[in-house]
Amino acid sequence: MSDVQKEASMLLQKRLLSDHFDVLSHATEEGRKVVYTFVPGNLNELVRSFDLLPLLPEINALQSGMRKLSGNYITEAEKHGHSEDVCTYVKCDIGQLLKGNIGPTGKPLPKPDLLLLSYTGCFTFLKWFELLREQYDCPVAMLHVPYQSNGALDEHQRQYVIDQLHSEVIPKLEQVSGKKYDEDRLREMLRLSAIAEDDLVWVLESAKHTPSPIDAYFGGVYYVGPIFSAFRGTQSAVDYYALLRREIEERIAAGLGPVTPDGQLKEERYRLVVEGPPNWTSFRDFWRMFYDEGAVVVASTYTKVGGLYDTGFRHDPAHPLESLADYCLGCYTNLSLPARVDLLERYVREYNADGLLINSVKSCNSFSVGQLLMLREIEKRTGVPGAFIESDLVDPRYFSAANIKNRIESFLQMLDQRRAIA
Amino acid sequence: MRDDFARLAGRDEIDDDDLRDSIAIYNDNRAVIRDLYRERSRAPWLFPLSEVFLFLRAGNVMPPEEHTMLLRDYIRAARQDESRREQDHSRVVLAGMFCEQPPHGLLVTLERAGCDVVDDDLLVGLRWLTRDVDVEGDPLENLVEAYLFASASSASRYAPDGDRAKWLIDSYTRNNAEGVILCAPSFCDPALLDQPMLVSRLDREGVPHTEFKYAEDTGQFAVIREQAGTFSDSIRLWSTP
Repeated sequence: MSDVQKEASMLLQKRLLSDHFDVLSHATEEGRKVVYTFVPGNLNELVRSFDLLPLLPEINALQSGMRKLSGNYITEAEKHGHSEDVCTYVKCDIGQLLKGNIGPTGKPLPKPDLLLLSYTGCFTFLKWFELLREQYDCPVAMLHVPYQSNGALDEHQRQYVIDQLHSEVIPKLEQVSGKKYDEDRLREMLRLSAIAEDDLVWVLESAKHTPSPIDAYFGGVYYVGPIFSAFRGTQSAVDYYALLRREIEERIAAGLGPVTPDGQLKEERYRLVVEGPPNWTSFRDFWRMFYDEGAVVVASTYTKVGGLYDTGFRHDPAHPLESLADYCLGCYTNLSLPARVDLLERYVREYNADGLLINSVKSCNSFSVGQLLMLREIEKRTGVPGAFIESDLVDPRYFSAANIKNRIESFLQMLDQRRAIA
Repeated sequence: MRDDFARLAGRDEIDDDDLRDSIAIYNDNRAVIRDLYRERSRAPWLFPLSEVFLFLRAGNVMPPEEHTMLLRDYIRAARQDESRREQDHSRVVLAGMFCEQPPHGLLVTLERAGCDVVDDDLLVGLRWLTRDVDVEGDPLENLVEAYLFASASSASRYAPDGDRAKWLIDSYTRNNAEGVILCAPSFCDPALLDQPMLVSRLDREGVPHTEFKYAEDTGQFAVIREQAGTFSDSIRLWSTP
């Protein structure tokens, strides 16, 4: 296997992540308090405004998947009574805990001082932190974010979330940190968030160019890394996205396509929209199935689970808690199925896609439910064909490379035939 | 919701008195279901699960007034049926079936394997509210009050006090049960993720238990029969009286 091609932004992101895990590994001895929380609907600015350290178990799980550690963790959790059917992020996290809670970079992870259960768009989060609460015996702050069943944000929903921030979340953050809520500090962090979000949206929308300078799924998951995890609201995130944007600007100016792990993509032959999370345990093999055929993902929904910014939302320092509420309510998996279909239709049209591909993940109910209906509806509305593949998040037993490759190749051949007869 | 329901019913509005009347009707229905569960716990051989399940399930499609009468008739008839005799079965609580309902054959299988089910979380929606809803005052406030403060514990609800297994241990004790069967549908994250927490607590309390999964449309019960039968036998043979 050849060495992976890395750009400056990738190296910066790697350093950010590594530094964060390093800080976490010393948190206990340095007396720093740690808040475990989830990616969709995370309150990173609020957590950091109390000088608390965020730790995101989903990020640990996907990192463990990419580093080929997740299989053993999942087996360990199953040995302790967890079913083979349930979310593999949860089992990976529980298995990691049972095996000594060593993080994906090989450094120990601290215990949580607070479990901040933001419960956005995925019911399993609730069970996940109930399980962790049993293990750690620490307080939980629960933020219940109502599902957007009407496909739009209602004022009473926003107020409901704000009320909980006041009555439940902020008091517990004050208690754990020993600090008072500082709204000015929060506003400054939200200002930084909005700057980074502007650049992220610019990067994702750069895929409207032909050829696309980015892969908005396989590359996209790296691009959303800092803003979806522990860095939103920090100067580090602002710097990362400014650097990333400069790189993409240069690529557009040079008429270049995306950079893949094996180097520059030579020719863009197919433009795809992808729905669903990627497989992490065979991430590079999975990506290669696309770039070997010249298939570029120009838009994806997975890169919207930690925040849907390309529909106009930005964190707003003038309305701090209101915008945190809107952010939580607007994450992709918190949207109704019709709203998700509308978004996919928009992507197919605006990004001039040749096809829609759904990667249905066995253990992620919040994503997978309704995906076949979504596929048929997009085909009906746009005339663009869809295809369906199945894999898993971090369970290596559920990545069948031959089957997936076969399906992708068949789909791309079908796109060729449609062109030939058009 | 009130406006939506009025539209569905083809009416201009649903007023407070309509709601109070409906609350009273459902209070009656919940009361007779509570009676049925009490009676079954007292004499499970009179009210086998495979029958109780069907009578309860009818409540999801019948007008509640008629369902209440049906259950009253069933309780009366079962009590008077002299062919129903106590058998040497184990008294178990069945948990994990709060959402996707099991095939009827699975419930029959549990009975044939020697399990008398004395409590369960089947069709829990019919018993979601654990007390009568007040018929005086603002009906919507009364409903909200009941939903928030007098509703069933379930894997699909957050347990703020941290005691996930409290309802199960309470049921085991209250119903004088001898064991617990955790039976969850495949791919049901709430039930399956709950299981390790329930198992750990049952172990700490010394409560005999067994676990298995089912698929909604399965017709294969041989393995479940073996497992439930062995469990029932082990309770009768080796549990401390």
